[in-house]
Amino acid sequence: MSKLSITAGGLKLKNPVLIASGIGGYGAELIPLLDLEAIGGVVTKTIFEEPRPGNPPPRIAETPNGMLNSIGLEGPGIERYEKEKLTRLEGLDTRIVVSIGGYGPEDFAKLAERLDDLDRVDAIELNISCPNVKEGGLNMSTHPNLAEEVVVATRRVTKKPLWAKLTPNVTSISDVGRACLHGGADALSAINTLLGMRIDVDRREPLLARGMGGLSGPAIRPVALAKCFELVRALNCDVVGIGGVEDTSSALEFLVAGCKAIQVGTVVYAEPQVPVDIVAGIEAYMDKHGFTELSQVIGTLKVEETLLIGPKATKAK
Amino acid sequence: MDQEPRLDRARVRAHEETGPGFYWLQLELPADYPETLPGQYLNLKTNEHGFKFRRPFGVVEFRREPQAVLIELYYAVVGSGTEAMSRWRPGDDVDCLGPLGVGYSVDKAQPALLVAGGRGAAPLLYLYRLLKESGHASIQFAFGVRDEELLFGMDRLQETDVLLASDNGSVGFHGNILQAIETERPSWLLGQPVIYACGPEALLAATGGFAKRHALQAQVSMEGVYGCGLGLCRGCAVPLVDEERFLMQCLEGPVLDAHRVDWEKVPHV
Ligand SMILES: Cc1cc2nc3c(=O)[nH]c(=O)nc-3n(C[C@H](O)[C@H](O)[C@H](O)COP(=O)(O)OP(=O)(O)OC[C@H]3O[C@@H](n4cnc5c(N)ncnc54)[C@H](O)[C@@H]3O)c2cc1C
Ligand SMILES: Cc1cc2nc3c(=O)[nH]c(=O)nc-3n(C[C@H](O)[C@H](O)[C@H](O)COP(=O)(O)O)c2cc1C
Ligand code: FES
Repeated sequence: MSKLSITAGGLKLKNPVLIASGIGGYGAELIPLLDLEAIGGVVTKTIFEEPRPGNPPPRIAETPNGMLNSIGLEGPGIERYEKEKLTRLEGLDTRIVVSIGGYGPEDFAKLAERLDDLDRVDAIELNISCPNVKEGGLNMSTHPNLAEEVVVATRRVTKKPLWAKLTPNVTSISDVGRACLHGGADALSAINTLLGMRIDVDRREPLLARGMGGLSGPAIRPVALAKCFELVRALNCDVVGIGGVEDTSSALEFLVAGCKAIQVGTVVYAEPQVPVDIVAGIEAYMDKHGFTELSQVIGTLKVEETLLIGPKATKAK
Repeated sequence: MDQEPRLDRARVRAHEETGPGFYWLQLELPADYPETLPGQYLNLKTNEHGFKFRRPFGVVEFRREPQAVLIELYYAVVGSGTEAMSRWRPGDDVDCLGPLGVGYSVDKAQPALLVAGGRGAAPLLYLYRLLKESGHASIQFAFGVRDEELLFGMDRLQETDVLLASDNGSVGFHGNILQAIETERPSWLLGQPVIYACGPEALLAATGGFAKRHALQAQVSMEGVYGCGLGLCRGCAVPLVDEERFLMQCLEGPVLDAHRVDWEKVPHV
């Protein structure tokens, strides 16, 4: 399958299909339903230093062709993650990207330093789209300076590939992306969920206890694609495309737009085998078009530059 | 239960509307399908296109035939997913994830008091059969519905074991099923029965309070919204008494010890 292999953000992958953070648990849970060795890798659920119980229910709601979640980054904390979760992935021939979270740059650095010692960790994804209590509940990836500080602090303590995961809930995703690259990120993962809401009109209450939550699933794909295209075009960097991938053709949209790899999220809940189907589908597509390597697909979007809207290519600072 | 979930194409063998908007569905699965117990469920795909959560349904009957396993469900049409199911025809293939969850854990030594609310009777009909077949000494079935029209599965029960109640008085005791037990069958509460309940969460919460008042054990089957049924999305969180963590009902339940649940924090009970 070497014709599907690709290096994304400093990480060599056997194929460009990964499972997104928060979707496949800590990886091993999906093993009965999906051959993890058939895909490029798994991004594990964002882990914090301390255990987090998560938000009160209701935490999820279905939406047209998607879902809302306000899980609240529930997790067992790094100690138990390392002992009980990561060890279950030992010996698997697939890439493990560990997603980490924190309330400030030091928290990220602490976790990254610890993960740097572990061979099973192939790369680190920085979930900077989580709450920053120190800055009064702001979200680090909405502020280029804060985002950059997180990347700089983690870059200092690890040589592993660093992917910065961006929120779409900003006016200019490329400003934040540029700052992350400047701080030393090897790739930008985009996008995290969009802020959304549903209301139960009989009770006149929001469907989620926290009122609002993150929208994901096929419904967000056009937004995700536009954000990824903007990043590729403005920053000419490695982008890992995320958002509403549900089948081969939707995965290919991101690759043709210039993403080096893609992550499959929400649809895995309903159809756990989809990531494996996409790998086979991409290969079939390449055969059909006579492509012998993935680089003949990636970033091959045909556009008339003069007609395009959106920020134009600029060099990263 | 250390069963691994699997994905199968289940074939619809029979499908009937047994009451207004209420259906009985018989599915055929491969002969090697794992034993599925009362309280465990299947997570069915109800949409052909686009994304939707799978829909969970408790198993009402599990039988092995030489060439296949037969699983029966009862379901009510309440929204788009069950509406789509109601159009399934015999011969259709259904995308089935299962068997999932942890079911009832029977205490052989204690009398069994089954408490059903509406369509929640489904898994209890199966539990009832297994208890009967095992020669369990004392089995009582308390079944509450909004209206007589919503009773189902009565042919699977022995009349002498059953107590009925309805919110509108159309059948049995006029009022809720727990009041019915206290007023009409107080003897059922003697001998430390274990309560096995399934129904709307308001009934389950009331059952929790009832069991506490009578100092009884109670196992209740929760009915939340499931994003995955696999413990992955962390969406089906149940607040617990004396524990900071939430429990994932799709994985550690749906059947839970009623005394562990912090009912005040369960939405809409
Ligand atoms: C473990 C388990 C076992 C189950 N077993 C059975 C069974 O054996 N038989 C059975 O009939 N059911 C069973 N259920 C319930 C069943 O899964 C649901 O009824 C089904 O998923 C509903 O799907 P739907 O698409 O038809 O309805 P949905 O459209 O999902 O709606 C479900 C219900 O929520 C309400 N609702 C949804 N969204 C809103 C909103 N925005 N505002 C107000 N109300 C809203 C609807 O009115 C409806 O009553 C079980 C559930 C669980 C968790
Ligand atoms: C229930 C749920 C939990 C999630 N948890 C995380 C998480 O812990 N960390 C993270 O970076 N993203 C998390 N995400 C976001 C996904 O990784 C992904 O960015 C997003 O869902 C968009 O992709 P999709 O449309 O394919 O799902 C979560 C998404 C869902 C639906
Ligand atoms: S439904 Fe996804 S964790 Fe329970």
